[in-house]
Amino acid sequence: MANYVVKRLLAVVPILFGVSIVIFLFLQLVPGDVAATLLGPRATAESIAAIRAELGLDKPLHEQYVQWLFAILQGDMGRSIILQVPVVDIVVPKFFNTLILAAASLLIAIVVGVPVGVLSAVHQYSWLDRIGTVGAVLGAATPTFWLALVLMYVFALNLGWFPTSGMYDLRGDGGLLDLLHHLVLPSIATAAIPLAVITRLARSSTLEVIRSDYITAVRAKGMSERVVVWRHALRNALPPIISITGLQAGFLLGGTLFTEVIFTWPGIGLQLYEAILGRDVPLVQGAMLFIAFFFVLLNLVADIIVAYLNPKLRAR
Amino acid sequence: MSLKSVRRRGASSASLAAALGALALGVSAGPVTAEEPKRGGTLIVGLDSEADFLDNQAAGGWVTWRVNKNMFDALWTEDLTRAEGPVPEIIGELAESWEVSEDGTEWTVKLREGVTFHDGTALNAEAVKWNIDRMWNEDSEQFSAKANGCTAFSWQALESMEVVGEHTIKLVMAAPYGEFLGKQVDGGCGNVSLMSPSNWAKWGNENVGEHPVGTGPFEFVERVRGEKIVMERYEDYWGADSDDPRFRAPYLDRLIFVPYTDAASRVAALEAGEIDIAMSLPPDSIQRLEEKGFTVKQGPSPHVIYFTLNMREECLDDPNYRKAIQFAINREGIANDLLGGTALPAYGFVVPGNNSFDPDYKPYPYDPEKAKELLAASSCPDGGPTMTWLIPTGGSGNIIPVPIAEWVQRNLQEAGFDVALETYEWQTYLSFWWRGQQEDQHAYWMSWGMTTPIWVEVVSHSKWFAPNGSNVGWYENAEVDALLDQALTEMDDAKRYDLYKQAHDLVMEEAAIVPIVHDSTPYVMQPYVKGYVHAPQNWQDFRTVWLDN
Amino acid sequence: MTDAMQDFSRAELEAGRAAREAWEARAKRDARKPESSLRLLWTALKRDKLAMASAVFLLLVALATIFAPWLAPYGPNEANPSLRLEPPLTEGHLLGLDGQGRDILTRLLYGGRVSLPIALIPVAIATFISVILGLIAGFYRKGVGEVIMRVLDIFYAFPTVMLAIAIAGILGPGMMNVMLSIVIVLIPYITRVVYTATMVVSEEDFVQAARACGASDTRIIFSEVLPNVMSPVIVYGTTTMGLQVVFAAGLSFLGLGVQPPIADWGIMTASGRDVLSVAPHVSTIPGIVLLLVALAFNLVGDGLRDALDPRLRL
Repeated sequence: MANYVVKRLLAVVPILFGVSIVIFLFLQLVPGDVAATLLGPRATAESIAAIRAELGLDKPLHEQYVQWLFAILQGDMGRSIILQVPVVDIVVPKFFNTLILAAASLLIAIVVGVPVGVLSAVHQYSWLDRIGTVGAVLGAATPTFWLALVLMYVFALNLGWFPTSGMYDLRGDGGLLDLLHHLVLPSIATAAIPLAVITRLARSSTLEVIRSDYITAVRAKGMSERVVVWRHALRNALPPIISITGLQAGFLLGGTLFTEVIFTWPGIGLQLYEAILGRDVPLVQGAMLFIAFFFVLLNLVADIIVAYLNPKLRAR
Repeated sequence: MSLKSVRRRGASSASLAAALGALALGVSAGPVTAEEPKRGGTLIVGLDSEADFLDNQAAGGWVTWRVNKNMFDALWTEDLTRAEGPVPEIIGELAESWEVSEDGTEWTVKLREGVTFHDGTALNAEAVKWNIDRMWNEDSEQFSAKANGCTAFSWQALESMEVVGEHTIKLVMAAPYGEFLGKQVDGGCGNVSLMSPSNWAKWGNENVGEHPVGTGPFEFVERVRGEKIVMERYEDYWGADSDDPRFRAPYLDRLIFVPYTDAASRVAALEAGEIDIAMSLPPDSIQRLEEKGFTVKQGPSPHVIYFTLNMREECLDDPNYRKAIQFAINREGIANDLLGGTALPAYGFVVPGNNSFDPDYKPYPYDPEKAKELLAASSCPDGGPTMTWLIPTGGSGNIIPVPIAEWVQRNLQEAGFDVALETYEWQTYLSFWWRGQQEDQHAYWMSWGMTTPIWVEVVSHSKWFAPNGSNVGWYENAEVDALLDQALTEMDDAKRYDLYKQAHDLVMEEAAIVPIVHDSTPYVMQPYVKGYVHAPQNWQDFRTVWLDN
Repeated sequence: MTDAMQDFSRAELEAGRAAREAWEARAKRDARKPESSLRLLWTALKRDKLAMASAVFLLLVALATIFAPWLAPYGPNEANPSLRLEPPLTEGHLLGLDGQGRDILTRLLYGGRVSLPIALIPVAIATFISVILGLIAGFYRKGVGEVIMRVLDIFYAFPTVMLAIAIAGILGPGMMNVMLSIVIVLIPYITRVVYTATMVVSEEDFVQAARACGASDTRIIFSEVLPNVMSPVIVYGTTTMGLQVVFAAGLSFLGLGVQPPIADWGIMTASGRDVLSVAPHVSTIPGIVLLLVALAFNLVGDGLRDALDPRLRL
């Protein structure tokens, strides 16, 4: 197992290296002069040149890259052009806010999706199966931004049950209950698609296992149906579910964007989006690198868990 | 959770009548209502975009000044505690009194005594000089190029200054500057308000904007980017014991600004009771909020939405072609139908909140037939090439730019023009705008304005061609330039206002700028928000506001 | 949101190697009857009533948008300001009017002329590129193939939503840039589908046989391997089309899409946000259309997938 983990970890290094190159080069596509944007209306040619030198923009590309990467490795992501504060100070707290939203959404998707999927498979063609299947098909096709708007219209504006924006009530002292209250609508909107995906996968994966010889053998031993389903069938159906859950978790890091925009959730998606529109190169680079890093990490963790559950894979 | 909303609903219906009463009184009598103001509470303000760096002298945009104004005082300010117009009265703030020499070049300013910055530093003539040096004197240690760029108009005539006494400073101008005070109170880019020198020593130009320290009625508490800017009443505020309503301490304990970049979220947050007051709401939602019992206050302001035409483009170099554009646009329709009366149709680019404004000036009423005639008589009778008009998708002061531009586009198409719109996010858009109009970019959108008539010079003098100024459409007329130069040094108010008006009318005669509407800058607030005064300015004074709950 | 690969709910391809084994077994089985896979898909579609109905629905939507100028009751930019924001079933305006007083049904029909191509063209282009890349990578697994797959691995490290928005946002708004971003985002995923299938097929007996007969690589790739990898690609492509329609609309919703006054379904949804509580129909109706179209694509995709894997239809 340790070997496997090391091997996977080593495989991640070149990927992250490639990611850093892509992000760096990609931002060279930004139209307009960053230095001119930075200085505003009455900048002189000399002051623009000075800023270019300060940002290292006058050096050849590869030197700029090495300088940038070296700084990043030391935890220095530069300074945001628009916000004029260190990128790290922005990216870390915003990313944490997104993690909260993503985790809540994923929790909903798993807690609802896995049991519904498994039960649908066990009771194939029952009403639960039908509702689950239709729900999953619908959920997968739902535009998140539309769902978020509908939820806001019904539950925040008309019924007044939940707030429409932010993470905390600015008049109160915050606290967990306040946070949960603000989380409900955004996390449901974000959960719709992962929920659909996980439900479908749990169902198909369980179906496959239930029809396998192994389960037939277990059944033949006379075990109760409950034990058969929840202990034997689910365990064997689990690896692909965990694997896709890992992927969904990763996607949520970017996928919360639409919800963040609509519910003014101060997350990394919203920040990245605004930074992109404002051509804030250091902030875009920092945020993308940060998200990509965690995305790779999450996939790695999911892979390792799957390998742990399914020893056969480690040998490969 | 649902309890909160029930309570809110009960409160709103009960106080509806009271709110309407306050509205009626508030229009004429300002903060002095029949009710006794209550001290305390937190006011949450929904901003239309995130504020810049909180460096009062170097930070850009009205939004930032709306925030900073509460923490910073300047030598002079406008009295925003009264709603009377057309422009707010200019009054001394940290300047207690001042004398101007006969020829208009020497200003001797006596400062208020006993004023301290929020960090305890005393305000004296040295501190004032230190601040002016920061904006004006390249050789000073604290000099900020950005502050210098932002306040260039304010100090353009300054030649030297001298600390005469502990609380007296003398400013010497190279030439008389008629709108010196008008520019002193402007907050468009940076404002010439004063920051604490000892606080600057701690943070330097790079970080001082994260730690704003002024002498204003509120002091800074914290800021979370994209989420909130929190300030508290400054207990040692110099005006705290004053009887003068213009300078007294605020009623509010706390003031929180929350950025909602998109208007829909702002409306929702206000409607759901998460914020107390919001600005720049979509006109359709304003009507609806008013029906639901929210208070709406609006009025003339120094604001205009206009397009600059690119004078260097083919067809657009023909006055008939430009005039045809002017006649083709149904400004009344935009102001009254699309914007539901929250804006006035604009027939000139001088703003209503300005001493050179003439409400009867209407050279280009909506006349599609005349537009077609003029187009036929122009050098491009077939309508010319497909024009590219650049607009922002949002941003401070732009109301609803895309629908407005779509409306203009439709009007122009009806008259025989062919217009393609290109939209950009506000920050990106601004970076284009500052560069000036490039080839094949036929018109640029902009929305701003000033209470000082020097505004006419800012947008139409040929010495302010982009990127050194705001003449982005390359309009050039020696006669206009001469009038503006004459106005600059004219010390007689009436004569000066007239010169600016003449210059403005000439620019309009040549149809170089296409005004669209003047926003009435509606603010919508919860019915329990009392005492709010809508002064004719793009930022407001929150010291008069109190909460009735 | 609509990540290109989330749809592959039978996550055999991406969800880990355990599942991939099953896939490979199946691909082997299918590969035994090389000529029949396309026909199989068609037969399955004919049998699956829901999928067939969905396909017909999509066809009707496509026709309606193509013939919008003849079908639409008004011009796309024709406005009646006095009826602004009137709700559905207003006389002469079945689905109501928007904030400028334009007929929503008309704008939906015209909007489809953007919303459908802006998503479908990139899927087609990405599929074309991916098939070539995947065939090469799967056939020459060492060397070129290794390089291709390692480079694509880098793109896997970005959440797709973020990557697409970054590309479209940096390049500036416009239809071309949105399409480009979707192409770039899709290539790694479709390529991997082709790659896996190619890998399996190229070890089949009939490929070995062709090789033994002295057939050139090009010939083997195009006449032996390609027909056998097309079915998973078609299934993937169909399902992803629905998601890309929603995703492209999402980019438009954020203001990265086409320029006004042209409006696609995403822009229409966004433009109604300001008036959500006054006139909810402006925002919600285009969203429902998006949902229906995406749903139809998914159902067709499901139908095709079931044909590939009859075991799951039990």
